[in-house]
Amino acid sequence: MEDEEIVGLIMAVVLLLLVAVIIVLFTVFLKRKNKLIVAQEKAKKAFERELAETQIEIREETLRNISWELHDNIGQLMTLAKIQVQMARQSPENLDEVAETIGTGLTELRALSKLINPEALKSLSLKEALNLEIERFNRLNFIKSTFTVEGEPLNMDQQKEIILFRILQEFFSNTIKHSKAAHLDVLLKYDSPCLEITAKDDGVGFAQDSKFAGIGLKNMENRAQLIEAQLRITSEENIGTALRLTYCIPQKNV
Amino acid sequence: MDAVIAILEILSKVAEGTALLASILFYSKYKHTALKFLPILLGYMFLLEIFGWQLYNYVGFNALFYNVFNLCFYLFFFYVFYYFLHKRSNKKGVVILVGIFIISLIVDLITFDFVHESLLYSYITGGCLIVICVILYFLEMLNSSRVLSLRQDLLFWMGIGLLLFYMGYIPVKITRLYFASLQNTFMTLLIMHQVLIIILYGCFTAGLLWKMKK
Repeated sequence: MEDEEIVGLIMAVVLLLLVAVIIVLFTVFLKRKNKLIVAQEKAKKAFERELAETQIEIREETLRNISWELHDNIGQLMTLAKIQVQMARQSPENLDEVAETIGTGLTELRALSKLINPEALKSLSLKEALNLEIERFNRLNFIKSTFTVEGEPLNMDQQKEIILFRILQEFFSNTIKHSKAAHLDVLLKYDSPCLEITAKDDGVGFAQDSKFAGIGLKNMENRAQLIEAQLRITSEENIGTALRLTYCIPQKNV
Repeated sequence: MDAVIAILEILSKVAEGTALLASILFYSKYKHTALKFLPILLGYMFLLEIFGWQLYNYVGFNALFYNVFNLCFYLFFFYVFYYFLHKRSNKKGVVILVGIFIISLIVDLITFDFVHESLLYSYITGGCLIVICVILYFLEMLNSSRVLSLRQDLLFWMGIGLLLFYMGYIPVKITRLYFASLQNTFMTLLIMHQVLIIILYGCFTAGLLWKMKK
């Protein structure tokens, strides 16, 4: 083979190699990109499904709370007012008391109507929603609760706030239903770009490996995972249960 | 043949000049990254391409300036890949590659005259090592969500250019060593070299333009 032919052959091989590299690169990157897009689409759909489910659960819980409040709070006040009216027939000077009771009932009713207004509910931030929840516990004497906020509130995605709220609502619901706790303390600590939520009760607690712990917490854990928040629930029998939820706002790559 | 080479030489200089211009115009897009020295490197390269022969005629040699450029070019890209690779093992890999490059440079300095001759071993070794860096970077990209915005990734385009250039030019360089005396083959290899330069700086310009659109 002549020298010139060898050079020609080498150049042909190099050219072929370059074309092959371009084709391989194009195919591999395109395939990987499509795969990632499909995965992202799936994750987005799963998130939307979970979000819708969460919103339905919050709505159900709200309806349950309204029913409770109407029955236990406003209903009781109206019953008391009725008794007072009946008694006022004999002693009309007690009518002031009746007016006061009806006034309290009306105030409670107004507060409730404000709370269940969908527009008002939509615009609530996590801090406001939690504050209302804690106020309600105290008002209805479900459990003595405190709510503390530290730091400057962060501008968070509302969808993420809904999920965080639902996780906490589930924890509160478990505390009220099962823990027999007398106190509940909730702390919201904003430390940009992270939010750390701590909720503690002094109830009966449960063993970490109990079936209750397994089933009850799985849902909360799944939701926390969905928004890439860290959830840790610790419990000691006869001492109480504590929840620690940390969520950091994702930082955009520079 | 001569006309083709003349046209390609002009085109390659245009490609280099365009890349330099784009790197200056869109400097603000990448000035906070390791690529901040890119305009200096491209400026040096452009001046060398324009005044390379004049320099040879004036001082009697120009290999020194090309050797310095190649050395800066390789070290710059090692630094860039070290900066942009995220995986610790890959960063360590780049450090090892730099070590290998330095060894080849030492061998070159012993074998060749740095002022009057083009360095060979470090050029070929450096080219191969840059190809490895590009592959590491591409693998990292493929395993992250960065693959979704690869058109806007300046280093992706630079990587494509470097990969194609060195995969094409290293065989050309080696072939040139053995067949440089043949006029016809020398011309063929020169054409190939010019085409590869156009591809390399074309990719640089494309990356900078996409970066501007981001």
